[in-house]
Amino acid sequence: MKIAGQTNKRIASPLIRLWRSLWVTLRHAWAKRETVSYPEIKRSLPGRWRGRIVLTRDPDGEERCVACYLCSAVCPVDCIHLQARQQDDGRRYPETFRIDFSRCIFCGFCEEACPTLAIQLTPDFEMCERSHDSLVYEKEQLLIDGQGKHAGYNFYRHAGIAIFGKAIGEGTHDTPPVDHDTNLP
Amino acid sequence: MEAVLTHHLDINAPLNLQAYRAAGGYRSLNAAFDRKPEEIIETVEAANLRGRGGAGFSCGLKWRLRGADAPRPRYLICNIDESEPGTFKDRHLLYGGPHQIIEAVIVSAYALQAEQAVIFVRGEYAKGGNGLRRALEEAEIAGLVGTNIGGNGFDLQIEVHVSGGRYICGEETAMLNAIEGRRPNPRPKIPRPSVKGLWGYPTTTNNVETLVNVPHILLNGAAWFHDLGVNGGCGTKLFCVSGMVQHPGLFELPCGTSARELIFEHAGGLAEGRTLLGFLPGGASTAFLLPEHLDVPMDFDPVAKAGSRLGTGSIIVLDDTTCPVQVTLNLMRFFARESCGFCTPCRDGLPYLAQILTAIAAGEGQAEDLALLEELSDIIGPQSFCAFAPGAVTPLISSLQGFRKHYESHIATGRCPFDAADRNGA
Amino acid sequence: MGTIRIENHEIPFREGDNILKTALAAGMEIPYFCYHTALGSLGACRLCAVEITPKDPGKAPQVVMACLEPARGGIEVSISSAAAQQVRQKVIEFLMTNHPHDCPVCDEGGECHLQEMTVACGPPYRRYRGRKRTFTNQYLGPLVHHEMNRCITCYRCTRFYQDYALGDDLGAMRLRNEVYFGRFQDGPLASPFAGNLVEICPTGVFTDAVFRQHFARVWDLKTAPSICPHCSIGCNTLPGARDGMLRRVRNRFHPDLNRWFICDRGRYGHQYSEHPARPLTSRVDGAKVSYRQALAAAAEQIKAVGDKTGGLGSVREDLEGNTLLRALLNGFNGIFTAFSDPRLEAATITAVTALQNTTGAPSLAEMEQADAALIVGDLTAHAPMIDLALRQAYRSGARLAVLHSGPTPLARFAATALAIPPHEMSVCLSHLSERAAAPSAANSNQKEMLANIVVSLTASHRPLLIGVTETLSASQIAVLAQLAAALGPGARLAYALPGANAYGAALLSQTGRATAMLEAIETGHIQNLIVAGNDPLGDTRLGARWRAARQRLDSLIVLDCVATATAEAADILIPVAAWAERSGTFVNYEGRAQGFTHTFRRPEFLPSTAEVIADLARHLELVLPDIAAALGDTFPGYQAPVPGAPGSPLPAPAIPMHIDTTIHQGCESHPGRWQAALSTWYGDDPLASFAPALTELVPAVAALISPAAALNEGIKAGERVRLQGPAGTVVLPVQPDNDVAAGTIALTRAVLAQLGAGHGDPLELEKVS
Repeated sequence: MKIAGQTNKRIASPLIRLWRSLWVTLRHAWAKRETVSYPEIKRSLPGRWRGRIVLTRDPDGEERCVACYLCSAVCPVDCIHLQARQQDDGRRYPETFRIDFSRCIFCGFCEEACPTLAIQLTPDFEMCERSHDSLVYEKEQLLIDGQGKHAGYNFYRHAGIAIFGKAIGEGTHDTPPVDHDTNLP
Repeated sequence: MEAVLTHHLDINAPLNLQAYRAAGGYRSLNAAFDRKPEEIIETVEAANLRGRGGAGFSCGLKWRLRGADAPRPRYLICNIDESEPGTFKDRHLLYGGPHQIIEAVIVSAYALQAEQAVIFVRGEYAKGGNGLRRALEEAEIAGLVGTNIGGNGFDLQIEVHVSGGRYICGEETAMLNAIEGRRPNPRPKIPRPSVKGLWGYPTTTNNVETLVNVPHILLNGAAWFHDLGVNGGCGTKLFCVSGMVQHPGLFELPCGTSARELIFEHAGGLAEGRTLLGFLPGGASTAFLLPEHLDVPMDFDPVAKAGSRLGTGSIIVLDDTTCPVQVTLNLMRFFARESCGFCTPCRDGLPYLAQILTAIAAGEGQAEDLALLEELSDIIGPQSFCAFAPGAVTPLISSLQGFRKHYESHIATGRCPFDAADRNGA
Repeated sequence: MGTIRIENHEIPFREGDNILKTALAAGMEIPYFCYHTALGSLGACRLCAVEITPKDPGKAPQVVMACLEPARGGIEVSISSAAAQQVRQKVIEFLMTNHPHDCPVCDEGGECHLQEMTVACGPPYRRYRGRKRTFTNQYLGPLVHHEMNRCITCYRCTRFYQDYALGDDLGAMRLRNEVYFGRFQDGPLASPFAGNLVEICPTGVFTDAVFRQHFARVWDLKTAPSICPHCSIGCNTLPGARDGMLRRVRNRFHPDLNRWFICDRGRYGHQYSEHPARPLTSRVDGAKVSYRQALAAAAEQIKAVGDKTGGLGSVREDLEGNTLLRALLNGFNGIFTAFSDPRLEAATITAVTALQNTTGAPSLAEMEQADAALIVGDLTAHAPMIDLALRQAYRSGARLAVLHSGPTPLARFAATALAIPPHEMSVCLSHLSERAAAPSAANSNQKEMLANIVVSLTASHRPLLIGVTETLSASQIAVLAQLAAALGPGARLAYALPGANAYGAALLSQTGRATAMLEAIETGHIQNLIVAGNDPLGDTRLGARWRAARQRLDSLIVLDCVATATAEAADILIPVAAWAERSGTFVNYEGRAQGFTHTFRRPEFLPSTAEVIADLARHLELVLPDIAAALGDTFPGYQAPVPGAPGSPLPAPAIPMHIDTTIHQGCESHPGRWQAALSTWYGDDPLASFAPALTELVPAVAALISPAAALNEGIKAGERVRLQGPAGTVVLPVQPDNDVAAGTIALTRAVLAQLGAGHGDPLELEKVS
């Protein structure tokens, strides 16, 4: 950039720069706003936006959570508490499952840790409550009817244990069970 | 050539004691009792009688290494747990000539000064075991087995033990466990069975074909035994020939006979228009040999030099319509099935190899599979607990070397090239 | 001795040890599965691969298995060499080919040795494209859950169950990668030590079936060093609790006592503290009140009658509780004892006194070194871990002799097992004692067998004598002590005492106090009774008498953590903390004082007995020394044992004990043809009888008699008989049993309580038509 004469530079350049900056500012005064008038207009969020936590179901409609305690173990703020239990057929599920959303930092570690794709974070942030107690969600408030963001996965089809509807040896990678009462080939 | 071991065998009507004696049987007992036990061991060692059960170890040396001052009671085990695919020689000996076996056990036990002998019979040979028991009864009544045999102060009790089944019982230390009523898992190599074997006492195990040579060596001498063989081999060998030959069967021939003679003269050669692809010289757990090895003498050291093992002397022949991948898969499935399940590399590694071979044979092999097979075999062989797994991976490693282009073809084309060809029911 | 170079460290080794054992002892980690310190090396898993390089440069390095390779000079061992790592990685890859995708639903996760080894050694990705072999599972009883898919065939379970614990209903079946570890058929595992499978299995094949019902991951459990409260051995345990509920009990290593294993009673008996009928709220005359109100009511009752108060402690109450209760009673010059049965009181005190006069009872580890043993009574039911220790002695060639009146599992391993009716036991023991002092010719079959026992004991270097206190009289216990003395300085003496703190409780009691207390209640000299952790109204022999005496009391004040008959009958019931909910001290059969710490606190307020007594004293405005002072007064030089430490011998009491030779010989002579024998099982004790998983395994209730006796009486198996005792009648089916002595009917505690008969008391039997 050509530099004007010394005396002019001392006076003109700062002025030019000043006006240029002012022009940039003024330009933004008439630019399109990013701000939307929430709640009249709601921004659509990407599917992986980390908001409210839900417990999902598998393609067969049963709850996916097997109460493995991995989410509560990885949670950096210890906001997840659950107690495991078995049904009569051996299927594990959480008897209680509780998330204290006033502690939750929505980091998503629980979703990463979950081996059954049960716990997932959804793009919903509209959770305001007036007391901390109301922010403690029990299982009934967390469990949804659908499969959430990940369709098609049923952990029990891949595990070795038997549950109602899937006997030993019927998993996707399994062969029928061995007859252990014989020594013949 | 005199068929020393087999000329009197008759599977349908084995000779009873009287007939066997008339044919010259049990004469070696006198020859044995006239000598000192150490002398017999010397003679057997001088005769270069090698073990015919698979390992090929010098029988006389094995007997000498046990030591003359081993604590008592001492055991001799005669191994008729023949389960190696392609091997049926011991079956012929058992069904066809039980008295020959008993005579062999008596003189061998005398040489070892063992007062207890166990003849371990494969479970599937139970009928042969019964025949053996009947022959043993005859021998006991005749005073050939029991106390003070032949008035020589030698006591020997023989027990016939029919196995509960499965291949691993043929492993020396697993056999000890089987006889003791335990699960037939192998034992650690130390202490050796010759020190602490059956019930904790010194035990010597020999294959039945090895033992039945002993009476003849005693009667005719070590030099005679040397002369029986050709190309440096000693004695005769019972060769089992099977596979893609016109006349499979059992042939007693001089040890050292070439594979070419065995396959093309005695076993009738290949079918019309076929060429030799390769052959296993010593049963399923030996390395494949190729057509270039046809003139190798079928004797322990020459076959070892050629990169394989004489083993049991069971030749399995492949021709150009035989898929070597299928053959190797067949063998690997056998070994995976017969693993005793004690150690991890054999128990879980062999089925892994079988799974990869199955995929390759079905045309679902992947490019990395051959390297994977070699990588896994390198661990499975050396790091297992007993010699079973090394034997199991030997045919695989050798077939990957000798028939590699066939494997590559399966993987590249996604199918078995031999499928369209005439396969005799592989 | 020498040193071997492992990973560039010079590690000392013992001649004969293998490299793995040497490295582990030095704190170096070599991955392994099938090796176990208690079970030795096997060489099956092939994970402990190390590379040894001979110092001789002519020899090549080779990869060997550290567990089978003797530690010796002349080699250098590398754990981290690439060759060794390759082998380990392949081994894990092979194991993973069939391992199910179960970690999230597997109880072992978080404390799974396979997980740890896989992360440490294994490949990070799966390239095996085949399918997995699967197994069906067996029902193995309410204690152990079976999930065979997860098995890595390390053989630890059968080696423990068959080789170590000498069980025979669990073993290996089939072969190759289909080896199956299970029972010959579905059904509860018979061994009293089956629960150890849960800890010994490196994966999740065998898991704690009780813990499974209220499962929590190991990282969420609150744990603290504790001592098992179920018998007098004092095995060290690690209870785990979460959310105010006790979830499970695991073994905690103690070098002299239990080391790696505990019995099923110790592992599963803890359920009593979660029993639905457990008293958790104080009650006065049946109405629920607060703790303060109950204390006030109790204090009022005591003040009203002044010093007409008695205190009954317990063998299962800790040292602090018993000592403070006794101190409280001393304040009134009242009677204190820890026993509701005078016979048991005399027997236990005699046993403890005898032990005080010897070098002390041997630890479990020392018992395994015995080369001959005489056992009097059913050890398996009363001190299961001593039974396990003797099985190890048996495995090493020890000759065991068992004198028993009823069934005992240890008889199978005895060189000599004699079924002796209770009333002949004294004669037998005296005979043995005389023989040991002066051998002479035998003149009857039984005497010859007794002579053989003495010969075996005198010929051995480390003979061991053990008596089960609950089925012996005080004089029999004394004779056993004499026999031990006669056998010389190498002989050791031990008694299975009737409770976790029986040793301590005995030192706080005196012979004759139980009788004195009963009589005092019956004559009105005691009008208030404080019972801490005891159940006199449920006593087998004297329950009826206690129940009658209770009617004479003004108030029965009970402190307990289980709903016993006495607790149900209490006027004032103050529930106290179970053992995992409080801290305290138990003194075991050796006289070893061991401390336990509270693992957790329940949501309900539950003080310990010691705290209740201290509060009560304050309400009564009595000056009571604090616990430390009270213990120091009773046992001069007492130092509270630190929980987690191996424990220390209890100092001798300030008032020395001596064996009272005037003790009554109640069970010696008997009229009638039949006498009762106590026959219980390993899962039975006052606390464990409230554990549902254990009570599921209670043997069927029957009257056990010898086959000869059944033949004599013309009674067939299953036929019903009517038994008549001092306090009641019971009709039961008969079961012939070879281990029952002549003229003896072996019965459970509950049946004996209904009959009002104790071990050795006469009974009447008649067939029911």
